Amino acid sequence: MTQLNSMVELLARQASDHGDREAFRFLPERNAAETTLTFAELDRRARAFAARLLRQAVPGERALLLFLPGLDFVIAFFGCLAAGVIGVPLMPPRRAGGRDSSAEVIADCSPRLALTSADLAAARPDLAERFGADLAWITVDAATEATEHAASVPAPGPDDIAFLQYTSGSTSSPKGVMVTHGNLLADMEMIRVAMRLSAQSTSVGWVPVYHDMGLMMGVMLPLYIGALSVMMPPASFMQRPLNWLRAIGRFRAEVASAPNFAFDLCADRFRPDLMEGVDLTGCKVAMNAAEPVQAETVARFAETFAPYGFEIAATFPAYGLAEATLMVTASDHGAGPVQQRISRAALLRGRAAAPKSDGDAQDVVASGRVLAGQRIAIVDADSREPRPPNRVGEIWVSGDNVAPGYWRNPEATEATFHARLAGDHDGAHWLRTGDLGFLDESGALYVTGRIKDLIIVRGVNHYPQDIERTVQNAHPALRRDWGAAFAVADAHGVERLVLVQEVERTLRHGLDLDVIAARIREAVASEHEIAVHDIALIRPASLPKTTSGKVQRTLARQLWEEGRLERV
Amino acid sequence: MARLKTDATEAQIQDWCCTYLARALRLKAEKIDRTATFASIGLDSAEALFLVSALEDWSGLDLDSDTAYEHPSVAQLSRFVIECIQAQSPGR
Repeated sequence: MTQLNSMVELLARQASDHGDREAFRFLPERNAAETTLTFAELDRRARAFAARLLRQAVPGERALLLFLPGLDFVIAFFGCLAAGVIGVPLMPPRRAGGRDSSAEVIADCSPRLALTSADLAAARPDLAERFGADLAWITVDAATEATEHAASVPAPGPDDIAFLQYTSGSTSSPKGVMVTHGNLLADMEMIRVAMRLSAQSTSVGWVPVYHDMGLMMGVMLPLYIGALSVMMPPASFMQRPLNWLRAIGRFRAEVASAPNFAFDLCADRFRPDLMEGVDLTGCKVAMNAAEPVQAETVARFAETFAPYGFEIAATFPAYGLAEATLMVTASDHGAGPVQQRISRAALLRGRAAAPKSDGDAQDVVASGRVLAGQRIAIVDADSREPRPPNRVGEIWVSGDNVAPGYWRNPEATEATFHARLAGDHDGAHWLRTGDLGFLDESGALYVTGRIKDLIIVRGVNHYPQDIERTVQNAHPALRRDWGAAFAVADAHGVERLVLVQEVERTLRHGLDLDVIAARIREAVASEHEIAVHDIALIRPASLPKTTSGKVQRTLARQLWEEGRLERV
Repeated sequence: MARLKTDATEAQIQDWCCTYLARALRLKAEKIDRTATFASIGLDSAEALFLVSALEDWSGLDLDSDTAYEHPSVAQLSRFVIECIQAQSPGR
């Protein structure tokens, strides 16, 4: 390939090389007609849409992308790229109240445009009012685009911002990662090599496009390699998880990407009658990323779907983050999951070592090795010294895929993107991921937690996920995956453990809160050797979570401090 | 997809929903307030989709994924389902 400078050039090349080939296919819910876009159609409609954008905005201005699942998003997204308008994918806010960060995102990126589809505009007339009168709304519409001439703007260069990716971190201060065309092309090429992809590498996905994984794996990567991307609505997967696998079989898809929970859900909802005739032998890359990869899940999924041709060798754990465009480490193609059994006690002290007993053993799954073209370092966050293999530290990343920073946020950019290793005088900038992990001797990365959520009691590091699991196992009335453990400083500045935990609806007479609290205290004390400062048992569905289902511990702590938890 | 349950009654659908919710949320079926919103009894958005999906299997209907949002209580959902069944039953 000759050197490409932007995703716009790439789309033009795909359109001229094989314009008639199908690029995207959308499988709607129920029996609505499937929609498709060829490479040529996408190129033409994106350029026509760009012309519409440029009547109301100039290159460099921001455009919110608010879409229901479907191909209109793809047209609008590439329309923004062709116009040089910076797209900002956003989850359409839920109808009723609900926490989300859309108001904060709008305040942060001050968009000129809001782009949407006719179906969402009709279903949600409230959005225009909610988002303020300053926005010009433009609806993707085939008939209007058919009458447009392609926009003529200078093609973007590799350093130009392609879009802003708002991370789903804290709601109060969202940060927009400025992903450039150069970042995209660099990361896509690394992924292509790691996954051994070709123009025949069809993928089937349902992860929402306002998440980095859905956008990259469902839209950008397929376009980059010139392969078909089959897209499903997220709700369609949640309602009928096996439809994902059926679609993988139907299209002989080679690539399927999802967070760990999705693989669990497929195994949970397995029904032989729904899997009849499904052939998964074509699936060579089942990417598991975006949340901790669980050994139990990987084994269970492979076992459940082996009769349908799924091979465990296709299991493809990976690690990445929006600040690095998407992917940082990935498994060896065709090698399957790599895991080891390590000591829980040693891990708490920041080391990977052999377990001393069965009770001390914990299975951890590797997220693969750093992709060719990037560098990774495990660093002591305080001294900024690199750590040797099998020592836990903060994961630092460097490479052409690392974004230049956060939108209009020089402080956060400096702190996160411009880190330097101690004693390193060559001036190399590193991205601090905020994630913790260790490398084994072969260079495989094991992600073990998040630096900010770490609970340090008497010099011992505790991962909140572990304590939460203990809490949830302490009593059947406690909801799995719906608890938060965090540290607060007491009057003496000593870190104390606070637990927030949702309670299942239970028999009125059977639910003795004192008994439950007592069991929790006992379990946490005996398994983690920590005395609990406070236990807040709260109503179901009142714990804050991100749109991707991650527990928001910082927000839970804030609610606890402000006394705003819905205690039972 | 199962055969359409043309003989279902509204009361039967309500009972089915309560039985399902009782199991999913560990409640006693008779304690479920049939007019309370699903959110208020602890059903999250994923669980709401699972309810719709189970209801499809039981009723033989093809339901949208936002059915439990549009009809957010046992009473409202059952009303909607019986109307769908009647609309699709032959010989009406």
